[in-house]
Amino acid sequence: MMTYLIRRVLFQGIPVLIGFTFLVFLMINFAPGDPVTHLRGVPDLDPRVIEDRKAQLGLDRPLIVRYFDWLGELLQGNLGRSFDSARRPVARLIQERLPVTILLSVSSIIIGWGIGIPVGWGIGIPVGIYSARRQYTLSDYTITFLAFVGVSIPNFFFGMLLLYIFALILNVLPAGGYFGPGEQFTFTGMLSYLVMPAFTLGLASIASITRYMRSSLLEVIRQDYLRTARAKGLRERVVIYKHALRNALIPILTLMGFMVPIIFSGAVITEQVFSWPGLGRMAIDATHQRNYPVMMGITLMFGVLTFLGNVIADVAYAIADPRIRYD
Amino acid sequence: MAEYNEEQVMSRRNIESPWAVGWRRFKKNRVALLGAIFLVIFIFLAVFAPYLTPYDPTRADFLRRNQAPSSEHWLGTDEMGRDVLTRTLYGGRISLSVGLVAVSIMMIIALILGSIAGYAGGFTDTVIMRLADVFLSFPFLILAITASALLGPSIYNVMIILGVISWPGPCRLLRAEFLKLKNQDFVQAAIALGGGHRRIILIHLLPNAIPPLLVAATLGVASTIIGEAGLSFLGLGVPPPAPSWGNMLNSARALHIMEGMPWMWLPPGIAIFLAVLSINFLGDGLRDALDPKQE
Repeated sequence: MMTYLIRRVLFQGIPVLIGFTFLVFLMINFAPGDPVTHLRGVPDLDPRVIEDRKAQLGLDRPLIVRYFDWLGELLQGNLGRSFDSARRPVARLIQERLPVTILLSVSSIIIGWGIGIPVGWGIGIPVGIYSARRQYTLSDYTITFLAFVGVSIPNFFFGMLLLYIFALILNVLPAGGYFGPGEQFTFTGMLSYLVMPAFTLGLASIASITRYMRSSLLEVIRQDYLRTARAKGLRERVVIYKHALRNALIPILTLMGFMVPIIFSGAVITEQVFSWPGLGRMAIDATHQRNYPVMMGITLMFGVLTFLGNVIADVAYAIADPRIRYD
Repeated sequence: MAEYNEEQVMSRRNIESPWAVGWRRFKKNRVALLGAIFLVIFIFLAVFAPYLTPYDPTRADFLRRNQAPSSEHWLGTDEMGRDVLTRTLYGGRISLSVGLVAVSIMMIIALILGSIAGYAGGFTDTVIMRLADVFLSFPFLILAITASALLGPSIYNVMIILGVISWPGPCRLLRAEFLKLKNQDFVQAAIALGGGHRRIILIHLLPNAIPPLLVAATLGVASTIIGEAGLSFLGLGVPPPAPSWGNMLNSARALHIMEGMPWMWLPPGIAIFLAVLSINFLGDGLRDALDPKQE
């Protein structure tokens, strides 16, 4: 398994990371406005002064050289400074916001898996067992339909509906935000802030995991080795939980790798709906202010998080499926 | 060409083409048909919007601001006194056309790169697939936000951004189809007969790879509609005053509007939801109908 993972990270991960940092670097360079823009507006300024200034800042060197300089800085954790008046280091800004975004994303993943797998399993088992006699039960139909609704409703609209019902009409939950200044941290307080955004972000995962779990289970239940397991006299519980479940979960684990970037995309919008003070909200604010160093820092951060999420998915996959080790 | 005798002609006529089989299966899928009908209604409403409503979608009328639904304004008016129903209808024009154009861009890129990768294989294939990985390693929306910030908000930029970002999915799909098809006997035979690259790709490979691509394109329209709505909701998509379902939701985000004037944000939200739901039903029905493994 280790060799598989090392190969996966070295030969697939590293080139992708390099390509992706280069893409971010290109975008920074295409961003309108560079450190000498303000000089160009000065009347009667000798163009040589601009050239000198550029040389001083290293901007006259070829793109590829500057990329490696930038990459070197990046590896030391230097993401540049924010464009706003405080001029704070971008790395620090990200460090401050990262925990709340992770809190939101991880909670939504837990909700998605915690609900999606049992529900998909719950509707999959009867369909799988009775399939010869009746293909589709009413509950199967209903939940499949609801899963479609779940993937089709845009998460910002779903979030607005939750906000409208639970915060504005029923007034039982706070209308967005997360612990104001001076507010004492409590666990129940955290839950009351977290529950709506986490559900909003988790809805699509619940829906798609339910569907995948159902079809993956149906696939497994028709396999010969399950019949063999029953035929050799194993109890039904062992057949279902040991033989069927583990194999049915394997495709779901690959889904996790795909879902990590989707979760982060969703987090950007969800944070906006619920005024959640995370990275996504900071990204939007930075975008509106054309604060490029912050934008690029966050883009990089999300790319790295996605990469890590994929590595975790690979590890989980390798643990669940022993066949992968010989791959 | 040799002459066909009558028997051969008859048997040719009796063979059902894959598309006919697909259509026969699709017709039986009531949910997918319903999705198709809804989609036709949406397209009709969007195309004929100017004839369906007497109001202008962008002209402000400050004497009629924030009005609740009435017989005059069925869905009320917004903060600038514009008719919400009118804006929802016109918003459909923008959302649907962004969806269609973005998906066309996505499919063109995917067709070219996917065909090359799947057909050429080797180093070319590796390079294209790693490029796809690079695009997939960014969260979709993060990349879209960054690109939109660099290019500036406009409806054309939204189409380009969404199309250019989403090519890796169908590209991988097409490549996988090509790899499968390339080793089949009829393609090997065509190569052995001396078919040129272009002929092999365009006549033998591509037509057989169309069904899964059609499904991907249909579902792609749904996801680009959500993508456009999301970008516009964040204020980085279709710029006002032009109405799009996303920017209508954006302008109704203030808590007092959300609480007191739900007619401003419920209609565009429900419109996105229904449009996306019907496209998803249609796409799923197409997948079931065109998948040869079914039956």
